[in-house]
Amino acid sequence: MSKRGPYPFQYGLDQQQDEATPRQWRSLDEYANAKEFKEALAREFPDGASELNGSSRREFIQLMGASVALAGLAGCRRPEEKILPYTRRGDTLVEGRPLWFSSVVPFYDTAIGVTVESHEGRPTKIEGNEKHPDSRGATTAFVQAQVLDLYDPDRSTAPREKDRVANWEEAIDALRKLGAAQKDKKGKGFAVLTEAHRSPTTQAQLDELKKQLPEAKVVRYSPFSRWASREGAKLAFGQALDAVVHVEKAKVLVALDSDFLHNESSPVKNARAFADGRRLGDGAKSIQNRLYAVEAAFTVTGASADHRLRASSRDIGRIAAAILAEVGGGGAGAQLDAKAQRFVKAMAKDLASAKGESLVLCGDNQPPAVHAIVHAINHALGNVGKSVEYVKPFSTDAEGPAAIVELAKAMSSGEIDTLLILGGNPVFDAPADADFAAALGKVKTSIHLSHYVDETSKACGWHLNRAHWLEQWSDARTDDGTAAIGQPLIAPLHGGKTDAEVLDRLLGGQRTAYQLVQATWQGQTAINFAKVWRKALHDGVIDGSAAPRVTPSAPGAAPALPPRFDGIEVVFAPDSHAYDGRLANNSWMQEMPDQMTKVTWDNAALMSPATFRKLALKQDGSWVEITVGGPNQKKVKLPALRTPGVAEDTIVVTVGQGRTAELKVGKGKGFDTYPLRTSTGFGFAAATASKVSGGAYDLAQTQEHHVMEGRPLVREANLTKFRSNAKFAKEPDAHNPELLSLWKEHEYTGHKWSMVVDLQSCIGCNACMVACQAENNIPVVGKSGVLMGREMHWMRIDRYYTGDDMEDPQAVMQPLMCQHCENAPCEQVCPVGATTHSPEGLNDIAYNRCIGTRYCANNCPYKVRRFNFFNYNKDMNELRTMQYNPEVTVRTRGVIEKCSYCVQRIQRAKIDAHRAGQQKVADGSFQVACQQVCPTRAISFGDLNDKESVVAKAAALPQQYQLLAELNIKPRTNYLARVRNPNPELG
Amino acid sequence: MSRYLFPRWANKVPFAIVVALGGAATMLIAAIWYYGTDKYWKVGYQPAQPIEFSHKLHAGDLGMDCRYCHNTVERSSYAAIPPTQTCMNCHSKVKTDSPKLAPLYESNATGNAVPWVKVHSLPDYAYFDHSAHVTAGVGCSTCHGRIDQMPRVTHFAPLTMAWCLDCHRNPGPNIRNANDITKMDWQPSADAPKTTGPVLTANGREANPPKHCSGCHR
Repeated sequence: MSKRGPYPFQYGLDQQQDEATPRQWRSLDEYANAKEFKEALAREFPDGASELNGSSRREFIQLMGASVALAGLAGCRRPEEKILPYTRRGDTLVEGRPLWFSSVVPFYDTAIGVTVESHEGRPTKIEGNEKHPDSRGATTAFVQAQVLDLYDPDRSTAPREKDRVANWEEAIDALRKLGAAQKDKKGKGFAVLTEAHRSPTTQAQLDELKKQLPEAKVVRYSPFSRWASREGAKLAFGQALDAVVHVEKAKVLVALDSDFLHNESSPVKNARAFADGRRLGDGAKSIQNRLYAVEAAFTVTGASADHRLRASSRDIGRIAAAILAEVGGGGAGAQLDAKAQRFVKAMAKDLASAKGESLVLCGDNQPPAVHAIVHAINHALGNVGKSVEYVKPFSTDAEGPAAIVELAKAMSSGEIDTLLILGGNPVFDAPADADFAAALGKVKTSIHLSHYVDETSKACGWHLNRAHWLEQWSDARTDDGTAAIGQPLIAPLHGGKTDAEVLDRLLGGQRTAYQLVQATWQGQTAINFAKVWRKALHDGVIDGSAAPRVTPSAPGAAPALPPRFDGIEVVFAPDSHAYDGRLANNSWMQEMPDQMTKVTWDNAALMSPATFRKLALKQDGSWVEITVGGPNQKKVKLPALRTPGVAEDTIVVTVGQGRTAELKVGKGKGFDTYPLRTSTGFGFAAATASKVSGGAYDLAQTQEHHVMEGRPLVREANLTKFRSNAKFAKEPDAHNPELLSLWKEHEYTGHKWSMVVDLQSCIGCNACMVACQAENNIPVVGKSGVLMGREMHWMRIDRYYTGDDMEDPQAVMQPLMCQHCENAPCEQVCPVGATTHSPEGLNDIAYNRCIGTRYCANNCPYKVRRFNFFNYNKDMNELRTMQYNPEVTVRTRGVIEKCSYCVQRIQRAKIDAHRAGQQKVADGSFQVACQQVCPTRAISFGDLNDKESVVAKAAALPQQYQLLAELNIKPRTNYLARVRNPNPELG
Repeated sequence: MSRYLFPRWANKVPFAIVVALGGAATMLIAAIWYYGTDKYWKVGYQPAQPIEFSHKLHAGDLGMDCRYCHNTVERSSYAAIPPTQTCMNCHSKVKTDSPKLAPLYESNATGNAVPWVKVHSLPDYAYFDHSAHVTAGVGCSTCHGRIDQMPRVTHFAPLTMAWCLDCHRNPGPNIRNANDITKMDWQPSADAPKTTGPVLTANGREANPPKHCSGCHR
């Protein structure tokens, strides 16, 4: 492992603290300027990346020498390869060209429209659907990762009766018998538990079931849904309503514990609208919106906010009440501390000045009472009907944590003796006070439909394997009711069935999922159904399917809030890897660094450095035991992690990790924190925490991997400064010496590919990283690999904290991938010419030439080159290999790889243009993977030589700058500086 | 007993050993050089196919256009082997009782593919695109030879990177009119007068084939 000398330009970390650029730091070590951090700066890979576990490199070479000698002269013959053509080729199919099909993914208690790329019948990549209102061409990390779940070898392959592997004939027979028996009893003692699904077809089946079995119970439960908002509307307006927010219509936004840009509400739609309101392009000098975030721990939303108030989750209700009183919505307000008081006053004044053009959002973690207050605030501000609209809820079935606890009680008491569970995993994720596993044990007949033989399936009499949404005909409504049809991309790999099909079989039917979905929509279309259907499939959205808007009555008096509890509070958030547990077996997601903490493969107890000291914990990873009170005390032990920006006396844990089912990837990863979550403390709860002796747990964090040094890397300013000096981002480079090149520089006469990353728009949601992984066949290396710094992601998102307060900083995100330098340092040191410069400015790699010296990685100041320390694709499960993008080489051991600017997409576009007789590729005729997935359109890509192209215009903006420009390596990627829009009153 | 243990001729032994080893090494290198090349292994490769399909009969004697069967060649990177269905367009009527066609009828009946043996095989890291070449005016016979004279398909060109680059560096002689793409007896106009200006492709673009890595390797 080689080390460099000190950085040549004396403008390093110590000098960063001038007025123009606030102090930026990635980790607490960097904040403290620790020795370890300084060492990391000078390394190309983190310390230990090149060490072989258990033996040194020298021993390794000795071993390898022997095995090469033994390998001998085998295999000189040319292998005989077979070509297996189609016997009947589909109409639209052309071998070698992918087809695209629209479909829809239910997620986040809404639905995101997608188009799925299919290579000869294999779905390989998910993209957003431009025509779908909740996607507008983009998706999220979780949605991107689901194509990997489709090919998960751990998926259930057959129905099971207890431990006996059965088949679908038997299962259907059992379902029919059960249904017939229930019809005699009118469904007494029968219950159906569903996820918080959004499928009209499933709902139609459930409604039919309720008609035929009037005594049966139907309950909806998902660990994260918007039930609290609906309940809050009931408290405020007297009827349960779904709020549809229009971020684009709001000038002042307040997020109260709400991660509406990333994990709640309709995140893709919201993020796009939010970013569109603050884009500083084409000479725009103003930002249309201002975001205040009040939250317990840093979320993606908080990192994007102009102002962020650190407040524990239990105080959000009081802050909401104070806002309500300030904006004239009545109520007595609430006692707040001085800092919060000042913040709330300024924020409320700002809100009141934008009546009808403001929006207050409340997090799903908050109880219904707080949601009711927030509904009242929006009403008082005149936002209803403008920035927030209301629609009737998708379903009227009982939902929420209390409903599942009630169901569990009925199961325990014998009132319910037959239970059908459609999806979900309640044994793992139901509130602890439901004690669902024990209740399930008392039920005579239980059936669980799911993708995996999971914790719930094990406890049920029957397990039925469920079709993945990429394999099934389905439909789903967004939050405002807009519906889309889900098309199967492939026949069910393991013969799974859909929720609607199982309900249909139970009621004695034998319709296929296709017939069921068609039946739903046929009833709602007056004429020419075939035409409507075809259009719906093509567009991926059904015209005019949005629900009618409801105008709620004036809200009643704000409900009383429970008294504040003292001491530690524990907050439950969805895991950035596993979400609520459903993606725990997804290796892409597990290895994706958490947006804020950069932890991979694990979850931890996040707490502020002050709370950390208070608990007398020694180091990150020290064990802490969290106890949630009540008569049935629950304890969970997990590693603690100091995290800036977490409220005092608050511990944030994510739920969804620590699975115990037989999952090769997910089993035993992280820690199960669901036992702490009860129906009364569903979002947050009073807790005690104590130190547990016994060393420290290794958390694989990437935040100090691939650190860079040089002139300020992220450049930001506030709006007033930007207005007075739009070129502020270029200031740090103003004193560059005259830069001369040692080499004859390249000329670019054809295309000149370039990328512009707008830090103003980037929210750091990780969607681009997963898209890149899916597009470019990037392997995962596992937790031990990440601990050694061997992660392979071609792009990373550097999260910097800014400001001098270690406890309460702001945050900025910076996506970083190969910068495709014109004077690339990597190209100059490659001894074999494996990495070379293309005439269009791409920094190419020919993998088959690379001999793995890693000189290039050593010479890369951005540390974007990744080395295949092992053959990560060796012995890959055949099912898993179906996801590989056939347009990208699968790399083997010993070669370097890095971002190629999606050269396969560039080549495809060039060839298509050439075929059409065009000399050049038209601007916008293709998108690179990270650009296409981005919910905020933060990345643009195109030809700099085309002065009219989007990318050329963006690169010409005054806030443009380049990273490490002082090295004269001429990076081809441009960044646009971040501009915040703070409230002058808060300074 | 003489003073010397070894006879006089023994002085030549080290020299002889060096010469012999040198010769052996040269032979070894020469052998690898020759037998290890793609040209040796590929050119002339002529595997037996499950059905003795004769391009000579179909493309030559019957004069069928290449694109009747390989219909994706102008749209896709692959000039796909036709589906069984395409064969059945004629063979549902023609030669229905021929035992040689049994695998075809079996494939048609069962839906299982006819397992053709791949003749032209590029490494997985090379991304050749038929459509780019065909629309630019590089015809079938340039790379595949006189297919119309082959009863059994033979590997014609070495398809090595050096061979590809020869043409990419100087595409002019191998570019033909769009109408001549499938013409088998077309000859490169090596002695055609060199016109000034850029070489144009069959569809009128300036021919500028990639010579950098990512043109073919991704």
